[in-house]
Formats: sequence, structure tokens, C-alpha cells
Amino acid sequence: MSLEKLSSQVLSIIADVTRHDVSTIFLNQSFDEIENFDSMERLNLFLRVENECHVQFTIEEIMKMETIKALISGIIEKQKISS
Amino acid sequence: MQKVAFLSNINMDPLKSHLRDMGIEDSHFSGYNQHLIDLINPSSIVYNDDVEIVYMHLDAAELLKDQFYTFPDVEAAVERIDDVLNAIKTFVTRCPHKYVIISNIVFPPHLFLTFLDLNTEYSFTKVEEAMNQRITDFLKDHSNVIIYDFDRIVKLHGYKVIYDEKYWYLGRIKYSQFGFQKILEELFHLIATFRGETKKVLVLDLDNTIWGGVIGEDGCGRIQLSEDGIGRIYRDFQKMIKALTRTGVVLAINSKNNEADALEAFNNVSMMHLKWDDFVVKKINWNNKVLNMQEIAEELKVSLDSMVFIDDNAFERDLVRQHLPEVCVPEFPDDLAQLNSWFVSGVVYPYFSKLHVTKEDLKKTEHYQRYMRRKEEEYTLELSDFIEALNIKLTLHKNDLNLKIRLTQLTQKTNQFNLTTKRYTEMEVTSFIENSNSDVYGLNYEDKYGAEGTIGEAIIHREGDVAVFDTYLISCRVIGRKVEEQFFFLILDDLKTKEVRSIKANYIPTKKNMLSKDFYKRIGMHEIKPNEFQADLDEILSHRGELLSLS
Repeated sequence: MSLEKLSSQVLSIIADVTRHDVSTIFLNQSFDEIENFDSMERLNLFLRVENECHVQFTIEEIMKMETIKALISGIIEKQKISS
Repeated sequence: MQKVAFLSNINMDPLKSHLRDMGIEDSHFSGYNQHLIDLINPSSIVYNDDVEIVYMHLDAAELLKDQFYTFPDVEAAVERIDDVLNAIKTFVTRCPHKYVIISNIVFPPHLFLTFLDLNTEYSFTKVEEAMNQRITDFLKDHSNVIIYDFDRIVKLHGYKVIYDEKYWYLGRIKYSQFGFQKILEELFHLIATFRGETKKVLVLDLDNTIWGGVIGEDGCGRIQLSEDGIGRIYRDFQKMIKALTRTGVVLAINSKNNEADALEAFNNVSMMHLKWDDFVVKKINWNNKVLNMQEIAEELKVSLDSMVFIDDNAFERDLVRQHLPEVCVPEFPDDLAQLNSWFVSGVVYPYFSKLHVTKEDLKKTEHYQRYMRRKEEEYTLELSDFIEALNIKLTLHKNDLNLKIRLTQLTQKTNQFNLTTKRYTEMEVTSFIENSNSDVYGLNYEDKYGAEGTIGEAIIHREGDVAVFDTYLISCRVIGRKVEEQFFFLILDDLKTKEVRSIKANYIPTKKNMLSKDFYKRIGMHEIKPNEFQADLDEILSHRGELLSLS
């Protein structure tokens, strides 16, 4: 999957989880910068990303990821390893 | 719309996004581990008027807490489930019209006890059995509590795909996205079942569907039905279909064949488990299968959306789907070895699930066979002679709690002769029976061909000397024999003893109840507004003779 397509998929999941307009969410943002993004939504986000992007993160990896960019890099890294 | 409230001893929050995907935006969720307090506290969300169903999802390990990490103690574990059941009892006693659905107890397969679990007294398997038995026993005294078979979900899909332990440590979430999805699918399927949204008729093709091969070409000696190999798959399939008829499902055949060839197969193939008479309607001809489906629906007096059609031929399936979108046409499995598991998970579960089996269900095929014989006689006799020859005996039952399951089923299933089509749950029917200002009448039917059981129902609310018909319905099996009129007059006779002077009723049109549109007018009631009727009781009773006359 191309980086653009992956980014847009992740942004769309974040928009859905946080119920924000997707155009107001940017790749460089940290999760904390998205208004109302709470710890439950963060877990929901990872559950959905793992399911919909077909990757599996460890508990340590999830705890370390603080930005959307880090999440997308993490998915790319996992996909490289699995391919 | 009535809502479902979700209670749990673990975090079920991810269900919200699945509910949103299903277009359900405003379900209630109790706070994490607030499940018992919410059931007991009258100001909690579960007591809101708009909550119809409370779903209690229990995680076994979390229920036991530290007991889960030590040698199991059955008695102590049962106390934990009793705490939950006592809270449910408090809730359903206070709210007898709400329902509680409770998941059964499932322990994870990786237990530190290893082989000790099944070989010694220290056993989580025994704890699981005892806790689940406790829940089953609780149901005997609480008809508005229903068990959700979470164990089946875990067994069907596997522990490893339903659970995701990582999120337990991150946020008290036990399940994967897939797990949440399956939990919700099963829950809504259970709710649809208890609301009576199930099918009535299973229509089957013959060649390469209930036996292997083509009877017209292969002949009786070469079709595949045996105790081994592929023939065994079809024989087991037939056994499963036959078993399904015991839950009230009616069978029909829709097959392109010569009828004589098919009959010969049913008569002469020794491994044939299904019998010719198990099928109430048989359309075995060279007609278009769409036409055959319509005729089957017409002859059984059922709507097309109460039928499921199974055919191995993709062309025939698509044809029926395209022309009759109301008929459910599941895909046929590519791998024949999957036929029987597919039949249970892809046909029985989604279309024919039940929570109760009534006496009428057990004899449904016989009832329909008698119905078909009566129809044959109808064609040869004048209608009045036919009705007279039937020697019909009607018995009126009033406020009979023993009939509550059947009466509930009738409100949920009857479409055509149903004046208001109000669907009621068992609890609602029970509350009408127990209310001193309401009466629930059931009508039992018997004729020279046999007894049909309870086929008519009326729910009436009395307001002073006025009786209001809330529900008036008759099963389509007996329509057209003056039963609908006779039932009405039997009720009026009873109302007269209660000093009722006038009656009110209304007709609520649906896509399916055109048959009953003119009933109240025909019986002599006055239409005071469109579809609203009123009449003086004595005036109607004076028309009894002419309305019941057969000539």
C-alpha cells in the first residue's frame, strides 16, 4: 500500500474514532493535540488500526507511539518485516 | 426506538464504534465495573423508560478476581455469580417489562492447572459448569432473563481470534475487533430471535441438494445417499433438515424434475431419510422456479419473506433472488464437506433460530398437511357444504397463562389476518393477561381432520363500558371458514357478561394485511374515521345469525 493511501486510511480511522472532520487532522499532530482524544479513543484507534491495516503491535510499541506520524511509520515498518 | 444498555465487569467500550457502523448511535453503556450498582440503583441508566434490554457481559476470570489465580473453589465461585444473579433479580422484579440477556461463563483454555483441571477436584471446568448451571436454574423463575451463548462464539471462532490480551493490560479490554464484531452480531441475532423475526418455510431443490446426482439421469440406484463418503454428507443433511421440522419449520420442494422420478426416489431409495410426506408442498415440474416459489407461498398462505430457498444451482439462486428479493437465498457451499456445518451456521442460525418450541411447532408439518387436504376438498365442494362437512369445533380460552408462549408467537408471526399487526413480547402478553382491565382471548380450532391448536387471538382493553380491540388475529390456515366471525361473536358474548355496551376497534394497514381490511365493516361496525370503528354491542349481536349463515 502506498504511503498516501496508508496515511489517508489511518487519518480516516482517527476521524471516525474521535468523530472529527478528517481535514482537521494532520500527519504531524500528536494524539494529544486532537481535541477530546482520550485514552479510550486511543485504545480504540489501535484496535482498529491493527485490524484494518493488518498489523500487530506489542504493548510496548503502543505505549511509545505518541504521534500519528509515528503510528504510520510503525505500520510501514511492520509491513516491511512481514513482506 | 427501544434501546439496549450494555453492562459488564470489563471494558466493552469498543462496541460503540461497531454500533455506530450499524447506525445505532445512542446505546447506553454503564461505567467500567459498574454492572452491579447500575442494576440495583433505580436512578441508573438501565431504569430509563427507553431501555428495553439490558445486556450483561461477564468475564469469568475478572468475576473470580484473585480466586482465578489460586486453586479453584466451586462454592466461592458460585457465590460470585449469585451476586450478579441477585442484582438481576432485583432489577427484573422492579422492571418486569424489561429483559436481561446474560452471557454464559467461559474460562480461557490456558489454565495454570494444566492436566490437574480435568483429573482432580481442582478444576476450573467444574467451576464453569457450576456457574453456568446456576444461571440456567435462575432462568426457570425469571422468564424475562435470556442466556447469550458466548461459549459458542469462542468455540466457533477460536479463543485466539476472539480475545486480545494486550488490550486487557492497556485498558481492561478483553477482545479483538473481530471478537467485538462477533459478540455484537450474535447479540442482535438473539434479540431478533426473541422478537420473533424468524422464517417459516424451507424450500429445497432435490438433485445435488438433498442427494448427490440427478435422479432423472442416474436413476434410484446411482444417486448418492449412503452411510459412507459423499452419500453420508447428504444423508446427514437430510437428518438435520428432518430435525429442523421438529421446531416448527415447514418443508417444500421446488425442483426441475419429473414428479414420478422424484416420487420413485422417495419410495425406493432405502437411505432416503426425508419422506415424501415431510414436504407439505411439492413443486416438481419444469416450470420457472420463481413461479413455483410464488405458488408455494400462495398455497401455504405465507408471505415470500418467510421463505428460505436452498438450491445448489447458482443460476436458479440468482433467478429467485432477482425476481423475488423477499425470499432469502443463501449461497450453497463450494466444498461439499462443509454442507452440514454451513447448514447450521448459514441457514438454521440466521433464519430459523428459536427461543421456545410450542406444541403447535412440534406438529406444524401435520397441521399444514391437513390444511392442504382441506384445500383439495374445497375445490370439489360448494364452500358452504365444505364448511359444514368440516365439523368445526372452536374453544375459547381467556387469560390463560399456559398459552402465553403461543399467544406471543401469534402476535409476532401472524401477518395476513391481523387487524393491527402489533408485535408483543412474552412479558407484554403476560402483563395483559394479568391486568384486570384487559383480556387476552385465545381460540383453539379442531375439525374432522384434527386439532390445529391455538389459531386465534384477541387482546381487549376495557374502559368503563367500552371494550377496545387492541389486537385481533387469526392464523391464515383457517381463514375463510367463518372462524374469524365466530371468534368475534364468542368474544362479544363474554364481553356482554362484563356489562360492556359498546366496542371500538381500528385497522392498521400494512403491506401484508389487506385480507383483513374490511373485516370490521363486514361484521357491522361503523367507520367513524378512516380505519376507526365503533359499534353498539347489542346491535352487532343482533346480526349474528346472518353473519354466521353459510348460505
